Amino acid sequence: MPASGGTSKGDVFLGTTPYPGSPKGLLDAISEIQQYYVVERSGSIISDDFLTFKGKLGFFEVGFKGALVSGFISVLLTPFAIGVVQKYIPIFGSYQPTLFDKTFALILATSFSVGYALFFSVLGKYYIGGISKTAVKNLMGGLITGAILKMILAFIMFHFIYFVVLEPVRLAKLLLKLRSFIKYETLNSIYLWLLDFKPVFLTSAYFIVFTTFLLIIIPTGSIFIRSRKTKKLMGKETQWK
Amino acid sequence: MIEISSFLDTLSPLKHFSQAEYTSIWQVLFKTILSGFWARLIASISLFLAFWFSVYRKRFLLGAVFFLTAVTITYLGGLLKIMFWWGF
Repeated sequence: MPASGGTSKGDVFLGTTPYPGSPKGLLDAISEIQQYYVVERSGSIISDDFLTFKGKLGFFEVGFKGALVSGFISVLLTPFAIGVVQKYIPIFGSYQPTLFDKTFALILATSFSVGYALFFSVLGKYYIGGISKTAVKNLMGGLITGAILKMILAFIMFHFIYFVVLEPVRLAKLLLKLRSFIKYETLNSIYLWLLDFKPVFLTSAYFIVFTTFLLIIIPTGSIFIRSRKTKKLMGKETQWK
Repeated sequence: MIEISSFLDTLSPLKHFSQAEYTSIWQVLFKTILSGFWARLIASISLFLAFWFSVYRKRFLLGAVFFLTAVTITYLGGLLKIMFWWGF
């Protein structure tokens, strides 16, 4: 390379080239899968080794992180939603929720997971060639693993809150530590409210199992159905040729 | 240090309103957009827009903003009710 820092004929560049199959986020991952799809659909054959171990791990990681983030939002909102349904928590400023309010609270709690699952559903269209399939499988593998890990952690956490944190004697001791800041009558009403509220955590644990099921079944089912449609379409295109 | 202190004083709402006025602002907010029909309508539209922007248009930041709006309008009314009427 010339000392001036300019370029001349014959220079060798050791720059960083985009590494195939190392997506930074979900959009990157889907874009890469779209590119593989376009190449494979045009009839080109891409070697299986094109997607390296690092590439496969990259897709897995994106799915895994996404499932954990969407799961975190669901875990946070679920006790509120169940609390609304069982009339412990006010919604829209009212302790008397209507059917609309209860449904809305539950939809709000599941919306992040459902939205994320719907976002994955577009992948079905691209599930055709060798590399596209490998990328989608790894992405889905990460999503399913992350979703199951989140479910197990949330299940344990809600049971821990129910059996350990909100155990009456322990709870009373915890609240009494706040005696200097909050008046006794208020602490007493918080104590009684928490004892009433604590079964909500058990219901929430099982509700999280249900939302995890949704997070897995929506994209899996959609990928299965849409990939069949794409295959049929490709079959017809071959016939027409 | 004196400037920081006066800046923080300016930030305090009680510098600009009396406590009764400040409480009444939140109560008006509660009665108008954080409870009843308008709260339900705004929260529903926000949740719909959150889905629309994040899933359909792939604009995640806008989707997240509308999702947060829906969550805030849904539960903030209840929180205000607890704060102002239960006297914590």
